[in-house]
Amino acid sequence: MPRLLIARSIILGFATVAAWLTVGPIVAIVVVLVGFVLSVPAIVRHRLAHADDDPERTEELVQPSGRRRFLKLASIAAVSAPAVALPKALGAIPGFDSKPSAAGGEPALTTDGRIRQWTMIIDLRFCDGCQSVDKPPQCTLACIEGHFVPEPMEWIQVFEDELSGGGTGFVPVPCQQCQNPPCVNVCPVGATFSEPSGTVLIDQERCIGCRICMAACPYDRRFFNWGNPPIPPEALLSDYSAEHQAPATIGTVMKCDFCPDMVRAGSLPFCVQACPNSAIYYGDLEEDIATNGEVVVSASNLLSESNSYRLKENLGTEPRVHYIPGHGELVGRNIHTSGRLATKWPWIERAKRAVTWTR
Amino acid sequence: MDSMTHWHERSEVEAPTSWRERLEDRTLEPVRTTSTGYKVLISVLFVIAAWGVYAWMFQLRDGLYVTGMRDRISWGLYISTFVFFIGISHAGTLISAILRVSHAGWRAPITRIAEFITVVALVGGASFIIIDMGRPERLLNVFLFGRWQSPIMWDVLAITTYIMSSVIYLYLPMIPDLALFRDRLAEAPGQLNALRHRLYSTLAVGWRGSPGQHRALGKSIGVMMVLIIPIAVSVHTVVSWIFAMTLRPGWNSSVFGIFFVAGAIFSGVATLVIILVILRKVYHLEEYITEKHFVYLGYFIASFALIMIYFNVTEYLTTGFKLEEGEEFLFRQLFIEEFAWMYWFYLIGGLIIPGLIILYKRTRTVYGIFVAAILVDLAMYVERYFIVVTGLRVPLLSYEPASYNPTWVEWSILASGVAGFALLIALFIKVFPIMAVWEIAEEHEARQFATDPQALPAARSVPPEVSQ
Amino acid sequence: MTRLNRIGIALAAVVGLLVLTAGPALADNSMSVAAPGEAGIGDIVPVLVSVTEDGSPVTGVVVVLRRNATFAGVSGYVEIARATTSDEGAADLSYVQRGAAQTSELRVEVLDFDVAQLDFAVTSVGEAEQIFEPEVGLNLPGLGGWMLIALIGGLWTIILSTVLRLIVVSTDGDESSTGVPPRRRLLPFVLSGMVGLIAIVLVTVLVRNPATHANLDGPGESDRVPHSHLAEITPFNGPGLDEAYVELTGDALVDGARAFFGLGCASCHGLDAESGVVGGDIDSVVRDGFDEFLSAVRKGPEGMPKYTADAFSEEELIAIHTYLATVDGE
Repeated sequence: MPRLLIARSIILGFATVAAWLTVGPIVAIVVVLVGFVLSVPAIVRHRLAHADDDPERTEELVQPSGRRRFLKLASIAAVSAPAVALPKALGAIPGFDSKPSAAGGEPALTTDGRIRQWTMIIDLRFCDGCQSVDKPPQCTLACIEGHFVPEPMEWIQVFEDELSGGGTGFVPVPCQQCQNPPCVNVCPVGATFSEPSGTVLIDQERCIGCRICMAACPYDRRFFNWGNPPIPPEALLSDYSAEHQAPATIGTVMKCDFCPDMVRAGSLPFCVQACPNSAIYYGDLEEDIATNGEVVVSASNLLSESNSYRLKENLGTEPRVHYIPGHGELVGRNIHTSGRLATKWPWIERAKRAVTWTR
Repeated sequence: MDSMTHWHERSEVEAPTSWRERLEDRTLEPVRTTSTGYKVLISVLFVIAAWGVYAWMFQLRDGLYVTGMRDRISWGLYISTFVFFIGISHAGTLISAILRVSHAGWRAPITRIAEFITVVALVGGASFIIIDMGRPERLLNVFLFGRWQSPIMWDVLAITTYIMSSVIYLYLPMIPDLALFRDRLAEAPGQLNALRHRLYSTLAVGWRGSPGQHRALGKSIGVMMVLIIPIAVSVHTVVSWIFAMTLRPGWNSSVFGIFFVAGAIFSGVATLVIILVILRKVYHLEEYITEKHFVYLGYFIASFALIMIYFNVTEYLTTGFKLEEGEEFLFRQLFIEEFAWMYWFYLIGGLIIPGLIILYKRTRTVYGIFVAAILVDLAMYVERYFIVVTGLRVPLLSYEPASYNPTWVEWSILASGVAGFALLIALFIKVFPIMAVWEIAEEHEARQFATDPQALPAARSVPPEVSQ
Repeated sequence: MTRLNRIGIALAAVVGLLVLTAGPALADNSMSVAAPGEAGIGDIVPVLVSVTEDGSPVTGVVVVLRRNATFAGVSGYVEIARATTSDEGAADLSYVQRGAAQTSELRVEVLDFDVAQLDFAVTSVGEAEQIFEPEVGLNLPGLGGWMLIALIGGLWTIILSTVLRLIVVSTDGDESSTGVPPRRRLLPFVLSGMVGLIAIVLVTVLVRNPATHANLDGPGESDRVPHSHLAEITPFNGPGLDEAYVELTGDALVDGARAFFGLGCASCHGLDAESGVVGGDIDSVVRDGFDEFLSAVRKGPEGMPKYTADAFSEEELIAIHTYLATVDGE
């Protein structure tokens, strides 16, 4: 009997304390009461058996039913009660909620209160890889300039693709801003997340650097700060935000963010502004409008009428970046003129302590 | 009479008490005496482990820049090692649990070591995940902001559950043996023994072998041995899902879960054989760990070699037949170009040759199986490596494929991980009973007095030519 | 199709019929449009146009429907539908009501045909419902976090029960033994506590699960500094962001632009010097004259680095100042 009682009270005590700490005193009292009620039959049986004064029989009678059931219930209570209550209790502590911590602005809205759905339409008929201006791709450079993108990242990168009948065409590839983003789906800590505008952002203050998002991205559009990021000293003056990602920090992932803060303020992303051929349109699917900085167009009309496509559409990632097929023909590029100039990081000479790496 | 019951044979002409005492002495010997060779081994392992920590300091200071990984091949040696370690952790617990559930009596002398390999390998594997992180100091974020939808989080949940339950599963059957140590070492004088006595008293939780204690412990062991099998299977399944949940050619495969589990058991048994051979030799456990044990484990290896060959065929034939986008590049690098030597070493040296060594009667000896096991472990490491690296190397857009060469830091940390694994096992045998004395004794008694042939499933299933 | 649309189509048909029958009576080139006066967001709005010349239908001319719109400082009439007239001189220019403005100002034009463009408006009515949702995927009822919580919670409850049974082991044998070994109860409690704690942590992690389709918190301190608010879009026409070193050519405008981008001023102050990620709007400093500008660069106000003559020479700064003053003046 004393054995039984000791084991029982210890377990009951454990469950009670756990319940008290997590749910509150009332539940703890309930736990004590339930524990007591549950042990009544066992005690009664023990009494009855004790009358026989047969210790072995007592053990058999008491142990299998009462103790086992009690053990089971106590452990269920000890695990499940706090599990339900603890999150709430912890959520009340400031800084302990699990929402993305990086502050930004409210989502941009249309005049009638709908959330804007950012999109990018890249008209490849106008993209010649900046061959005509004889410069490295200006979209990449403006992005590097405006975001202090560490070398060797090219958040919007101009690839040269083979055309099916020979020759080449240039394809600038920013983050595709998938609506079914593989990177967001695999992130273990919610450091990369979809914004209400359909943009995928990264909270570099939460990122743990596991790089599974880089493995998951089918577009190779995620970049890692392998070392101390090579950025100009002035970037360190920036107040960090997930919306512009400056300054870059070691051991975290970065990518094109669609410049949400700039467009919310009525401006356009760096790459759109910088394109000498105005090949990049940026717009809002919700209001059905887009602009390349010169003209304003209907996004849906442009997409449907120009047979637009998206990269690797068969993967079901639902990108928000659309391409109008072409190879720079409208700015006079010959398909056999291949090659583009290499990207440069204009401030790299001043990024003193940083190390650089190749991709 | 087969060699499986070697100890059984001898005991027939001996008094049971002296047989029991000899068993206890054998088990206690590593704890009682420490040879010079052991001290040298420990020192060497410690130096290698410390060198890895030194290398890791560089990585902590400069970031993953010091490794060979870059944006395109963003996982390398660390993740391969993580997968490999999690794989060999299946040695123990799964083998020991399956054998215990199926009442295979021959398991008794090897379960303890197998279970310990599990715990140490899991600790090793988990630490490699932390080493691979770009921001290890943010580990707590996994618990503050963990998302259950993420495959990494599945790993965190599964591995935490697996570590805890395999520690308990290692510990529970050890309690009677710890009580034995407590009682036997209490007799000896000296400060060290007093300390040991305190340790074993704590660990033995007042075990006196009463019927009530037997009943309670038996129940706990019974629950854990059933529970641990699905946990172990789930662990390696979700490890494979880290890869299979992506859209990459070579990884995007539905067979990955079971493929990795089979590979895990395969490499786990091989690791168990390697460590058993060494311990048997060093601590003269031939009486308990007999050739029959190795033959049985060898059969395990051979059958899993066949299963692995089957998985290779089904995985690569189904994708290779269709040759979707990216698969051609994958196949070219894996079978003909850069990684061909790895793949063919794995297939021929790691699957076919070990299988032949075991199936061919004349090489089916302890050392033959030992060699096969070493080949299997090497091949399985290589397999983990090429699965990780070739999958990442397939270009996703029109760029030149990247290359990956591990740096000295990565090699050092890998060496340190292996040394740390060996070091922990070496330290373990200095503190804990390396064999389950009470289970061996129980089995011994069961055999001695059994008339029911059902009680000896192991002895029946052995082909006669194996015993000699 | 809403009821409204059906009414619209009927109305359009009637008007179309009227136009067609009354056609011969009308003189010269003319165009008529039938469209409902209001529509809900996301509805297909039927717009029927008929073109006539001296009362007879005009076939094969291109009719374009445009909407007045403004986005990111650019405004204009954007094409939303285009059609060629049929044998009856009719064109179907149906479109989807998407515009954010309460009233869509629309304009119909006939290309290469001498007829005046026609303006009309369609007012948006009803709730402004979101058309595009950023979330995709399937939700299978019952499959999800709660199932995982039940699984993990159940597993750990079983594990805890096996450890709790050790307490029974440690308390058994009290009476029977003469010398009870000390410290025997410590471990079961430590172990149970550990298992319980880890179980609670794991389940808590599962319950707390962060949202990944989350709204960002309200504007905080980390929002971009006085923002690069381009009042009007100035397409980038800088001479090149790639030149880290500036060789002066003597042409102050060219040199200034090169230096502004090449030396990294634009990195902070934005492509048009009206502030970027870090630096502020420098228009006022530029307007105050070169001396003020020079001293600002050398002193480095508000966290800006002090740029000595080693960093930027005075000639470079003169060029930059000239360039910025010109750009600002435009």
